Amino acid sequence: MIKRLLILNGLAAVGAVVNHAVVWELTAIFYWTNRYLPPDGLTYDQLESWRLFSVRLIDQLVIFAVFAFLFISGYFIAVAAGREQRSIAWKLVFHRIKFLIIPYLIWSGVILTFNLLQGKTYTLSELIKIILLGGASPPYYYVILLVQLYILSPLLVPLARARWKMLLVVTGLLQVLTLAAYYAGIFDIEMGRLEPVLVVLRDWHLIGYAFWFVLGMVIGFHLHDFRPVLIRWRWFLLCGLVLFFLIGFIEWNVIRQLAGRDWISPQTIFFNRVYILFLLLSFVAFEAMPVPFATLFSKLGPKSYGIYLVHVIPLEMAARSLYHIAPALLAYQFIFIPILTFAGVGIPVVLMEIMNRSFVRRYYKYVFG
Amino acid sequence: MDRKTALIEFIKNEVMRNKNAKLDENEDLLSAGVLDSLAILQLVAFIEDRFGIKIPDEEVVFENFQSVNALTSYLENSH
Repeated sequence: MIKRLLILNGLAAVGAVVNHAVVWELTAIFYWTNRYLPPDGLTYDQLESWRLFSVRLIDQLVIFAVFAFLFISGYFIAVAAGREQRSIAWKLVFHRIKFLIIPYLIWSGVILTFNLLQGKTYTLSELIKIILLGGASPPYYYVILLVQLYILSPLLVPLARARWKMLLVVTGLLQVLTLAAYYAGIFDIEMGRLEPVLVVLRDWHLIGYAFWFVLGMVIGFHLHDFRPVLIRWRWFLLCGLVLFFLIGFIEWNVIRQLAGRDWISPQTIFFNRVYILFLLLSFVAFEAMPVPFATLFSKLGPKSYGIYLVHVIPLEMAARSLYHIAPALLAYQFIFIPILTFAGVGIPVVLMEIMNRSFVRRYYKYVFG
Repeated sequence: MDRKTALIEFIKNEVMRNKNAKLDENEDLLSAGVLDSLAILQLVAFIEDRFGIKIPDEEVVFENFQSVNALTSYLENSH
């Protein structure tokens, strides 16, 4: 299974890029129609079109990315804790965080510099807030989340060893609470005095995402017990995976329509979380099943953090370039998204290769993690 | 090239990305920040490809990957 985690990490890296390429596709659908439709084309006339549903389908295939990253990071904590240690060393946590934070600061700095060059201005307090909350780019929330989980990991290890059922139940319930808070937000339900609690549940990602890190830890510590059970139930898991993929897809659309929204984040949908759970467990259960392009994905696996940090820049550049240079392509989803994905994965990988072959390669970890 | 030398070379070249780095054979690779989650996965893949040794998942633990010496002796004792 260990080698497959590298493949899963590569798949998740590409998935994260596709997931964010979808955001630009939505921009093309909702806001850039004047660039490729006749002048009388309404900006929102594609709201219920096949194009929206096909982009949602693409998105549905890749929404597991961040959850997979967390699962693998949790599994690593179990490896690092070993068989006999009570917990993991703070020194290890410190080094892990160091190589998360320094690249994060560098790429946040690059993005903020781009923004400043485009005329945006920030006060010092705004800059501090952006850095502390991962606000330079929306996907950067993940870095702050992972840092918090690593800081908590020495406390989580003893629980994941000895009281793993309780830990899974508690973090699972916290996740459900978070989803309830998202739903309240989607439907604009006023919760009175509870409103500040809902805001915390929605905005503090640690509460809703800890489950996936803990799941990786628990499976890592108890693989000997989990594996035979998962293998025995593998066909059930696969059926569940397909079923919840579809239910999650349908639930998203039902909730979107009931709430009268154009788009809601698919990650906030309950059955999508169930689908992601079945997907990760199926990945463990079907450990002998070959993955297409396994070599490619296992090569991308170790580069995942670098790709994740850098991809937002080439994605934006590619999308905006197409807007100006080849707007007709914005109309073709199955050209637009692959171009963005190619840029979002390819450019970071090229940058990483250049640095890896240069005389400064020893500093690679500080730039790409 | 013996296993220990090959492992040291791999760690220096592919993980530390510095051929001239000093790597003590007893150095705690995890606590020193040399190995992270993905580097361990890379190392497992390298061992499988280079030496044809498949490490069972349950054996991929801190004790066996703590240092170059720990890893070498694990590989010698179990394979």
